Amino acid sequence: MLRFQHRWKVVFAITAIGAAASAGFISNGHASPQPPPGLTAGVASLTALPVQANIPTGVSRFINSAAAATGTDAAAAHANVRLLRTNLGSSSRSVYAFRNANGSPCFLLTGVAGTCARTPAGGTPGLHWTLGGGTDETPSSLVGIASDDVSAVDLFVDGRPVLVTRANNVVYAEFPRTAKEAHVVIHRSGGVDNSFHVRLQG
Amino acid sequence: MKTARLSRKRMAAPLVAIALALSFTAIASAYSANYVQNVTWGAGSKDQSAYVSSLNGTAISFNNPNGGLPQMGARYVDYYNTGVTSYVWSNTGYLLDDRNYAGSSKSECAANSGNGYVVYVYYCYTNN
Repeated sequence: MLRFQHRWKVVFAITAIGAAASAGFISNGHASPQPPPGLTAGVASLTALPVQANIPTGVSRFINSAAAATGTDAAAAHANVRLLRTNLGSSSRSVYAFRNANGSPCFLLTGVAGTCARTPAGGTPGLHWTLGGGTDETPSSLVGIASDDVSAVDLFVDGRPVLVTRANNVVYAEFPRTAKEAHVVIHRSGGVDNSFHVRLQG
Repeated sequence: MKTARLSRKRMAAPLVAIALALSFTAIASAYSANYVQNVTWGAGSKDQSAYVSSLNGTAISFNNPNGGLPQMGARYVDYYNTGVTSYVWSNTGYLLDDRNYAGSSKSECAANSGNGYVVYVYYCYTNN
């Protein structure tokens, strides 16, 4: 009987250790929390900045396309467009953004690219982004909308650090269009960082 | 009377030919296509549109049926599939390549070769 009880204690202890390990509580004696998904930590500039009355034709085209792709009413999308950044990089581009029907930000770097997730929880934790997009005349770029709890974004292109500017939740950086690899690290104010890697040439 | 009818027909024939030629020209110059639709792609898969002039952007809609954050990209390529612009990438599920290309080119959409998960592509669309 005693032997039977002891065996069950061992089984229980092994099960508890396994469960704790799978929950991420055993690495270096600390919990390993995950960062909040996507942009669920909020994007204040999409509320704080004024709605744009005059929307350029190219931005309107993006709004119609992104609205259709995410099940959003295009008229409602046009009515809540914000201008988040201007005079970015060597081509003085701008970033316009709106929230789609599910509340996820959709943004366009004028003349380069736009993107949006179907829900705020989609995409990379802390940063919805586009990378690349260079031409013979213009360099490639990183542009993204960072959530309010992002304290910094680091970009490494072919192993070298690249200056990233950040304002109104928009991060921006430029690099040569011939670059091969990009690595992005997102620092959150809660101390949980995450990163991603892109093979720029496909 | 018969002569008048014949001459009217003779006059109309070149006009019909001109109208047909104009309509074919319009079809040839106006291009719009979902050149990829409803496919599941592994890492490195890609496809291109027809080779036409003045392409005016590429829209890609995609999803991650098996999870992860697979990346999709777009660029323009020449007749020999060499890039004339760099790829622009995203992993959110919708991407618009907002660049234009004045010369003749093909729009290309691609699943990044570094993807660890398959991507379901609803469409890759371009027009001029």
